[in-house]
Amino acid sequence: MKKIIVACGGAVATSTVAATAIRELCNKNNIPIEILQIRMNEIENNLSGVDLIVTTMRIKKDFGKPYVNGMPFLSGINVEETEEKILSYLR
Amino acid sequence: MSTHTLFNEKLIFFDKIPSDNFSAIKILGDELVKAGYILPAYIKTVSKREFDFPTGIALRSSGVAIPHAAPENNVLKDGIAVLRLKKPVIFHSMEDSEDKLSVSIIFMLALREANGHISMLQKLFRIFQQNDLMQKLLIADNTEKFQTLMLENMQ
Repeated sequence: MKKIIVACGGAVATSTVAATAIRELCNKNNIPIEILQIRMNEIENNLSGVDLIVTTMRIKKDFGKPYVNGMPFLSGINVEETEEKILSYLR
Repeated sequence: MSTHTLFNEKLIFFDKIPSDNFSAIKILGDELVKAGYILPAYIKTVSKREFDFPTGIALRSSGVAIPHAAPENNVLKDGIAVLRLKKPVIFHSMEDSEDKLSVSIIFMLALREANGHISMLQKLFRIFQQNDLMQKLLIADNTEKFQTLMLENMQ
C-alpha cells in the first residue's frame, strides 16, 4: 500500500479533483494506495510513511519525499507526463 | 441538488466591471448573498483565502479563477457565480503565487462540502480543459447561452 499526500490551499476543491484523478490512475494500474487529502500547511506533520506528495501549488520546501506538481489534473496541460511521473514513484 | 440551482442564470454576469481580483470577488459575493446562497462572512473568507492561496489557473484558452473557501457554516446553498470580463483582471496563479495571469472568467464557488461534489468539480474542471468549449463560453452572446453550455456539459 502506497501512501500519497494530496494537498492544496484549503483542501476544499482542487485537491479533491487531483485526488480523484490519482485514485483512478492507480486503480487502472493496479497500485493499491491510500490518499491523505490535507491543506498545504498540514504536510509537515503528516509525513510519516508517505511515498509521494502531490500538490496543486508549487512547493518550495523540500520535505525529503518524492514530489509531483498536480496542476495538470486541473488545467489539462501535460496530464500524461504527470501521470507517468506519479507512476514512476509508485511502482 | 439541481444543476440549475448550482448554475443559476441569475448568477452569471457579463456586464460588471471589477477594478481588480478582490473587487470581482466582492461583486460575485454580494450577488450570492442577494440570491440567498451565502452569508456575507463568506466573502471575507474567500478574499483572505485568495490572498493566501490564489486561485488563478492558466488554461490553453485563457485564464480562469475559482475563488472559494472552506464553508464554515457560511454557505447556505451550493452555487457557482460567474463573472465574464471584457477586460481581464489580474489574479495570482494557484500553481505559483508569485506568478500573475490575466483572467477572463471568474467562477466563484460556494459549496457546503467539497467531498459531496467530487463529480461536479471534476465536470467543472473537464470543461476548463476543453479548449473549444472554453472558446464558446468566452464568446457566448448572453448569459442564457452561457448557462446552457455549462449545463449541457455538467450532466
